[in-house]
Amino acid sequence: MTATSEEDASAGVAHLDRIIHEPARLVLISNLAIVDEADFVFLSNRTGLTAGNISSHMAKLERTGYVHVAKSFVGRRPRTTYRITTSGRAAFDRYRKHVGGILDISP
Amino acid sequence: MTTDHDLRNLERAAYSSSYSDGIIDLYLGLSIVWLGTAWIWRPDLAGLAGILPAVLVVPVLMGRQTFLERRTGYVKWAEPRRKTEHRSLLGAAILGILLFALAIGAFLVVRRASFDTGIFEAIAPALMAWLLALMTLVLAVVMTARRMIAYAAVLVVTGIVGAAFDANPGWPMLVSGLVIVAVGGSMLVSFLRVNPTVES
Repeated sequence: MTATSEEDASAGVAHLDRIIHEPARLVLISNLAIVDEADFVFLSNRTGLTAGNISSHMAKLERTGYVHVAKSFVGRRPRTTYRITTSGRAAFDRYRKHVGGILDISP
Repeated sequence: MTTDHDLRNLERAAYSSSYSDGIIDLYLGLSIVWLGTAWIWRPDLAGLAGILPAVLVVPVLMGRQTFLERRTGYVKWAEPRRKTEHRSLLGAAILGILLFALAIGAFLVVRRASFDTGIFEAIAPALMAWLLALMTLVLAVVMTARRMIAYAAVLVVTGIVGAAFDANPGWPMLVSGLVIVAVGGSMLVSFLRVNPTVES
């Protein structure tokens, strides 16, 4: 890597969306990006994350406005459903382009 | 990096794994066993036997949905996937009706034919199994499940063996159906072990 591309890559990394960049949140938002909506159990099965992990990361994504959380009942069973928001999808697309750009200028 | 290609693969893998419970396999296998048994037991009523699996398809799919949601969770697939699924299911239903009509038509033509029907008679034991193999290939596309291609191959091979031994057309179906039931049953057992009931 040349000095300029190294600087470009460093600058690129510094501007990454830290909310999405965290590995657990990245895998959660990637899984939400491929569906319309999914519940807690589906995400847990797909990602292998524990209940506590999913809750805390989803709370952060919800606070940022990237994910919409809905709580409901199916019969007597509670169901928590997650859906990626328009701004969440836009942020995820930006993040993917950003990382792609960084990798393109890396050797 | 998560490219569009990676996301498509992720979606395909997630969708494909949503059929790992084996219930569709069991339904398919039991339906084929039922058709084969009917063909052996009462060949004159074999055509009517197809009504039962057709009537059961909706309750089976709805029951499966509830069963799955309690174990693998609820998911609403993205619109392109839902559209593809609807198109494939519609295509499968139309193909099924066409194949059924074709089989009945061929049967009537051969029965009233004044020409040499030797070739038809030779492949008659395999015909139903081969038609079911075609339906199974359509399911392979709908479910993006390669094992359905293997089931179709089993139906083709048992059909050939049935024709070679001039067996009742029910036997290739019965044998193939039992193979599919065995695979579906073992998938369901392993699915239940890995996915206990959970609250969301």
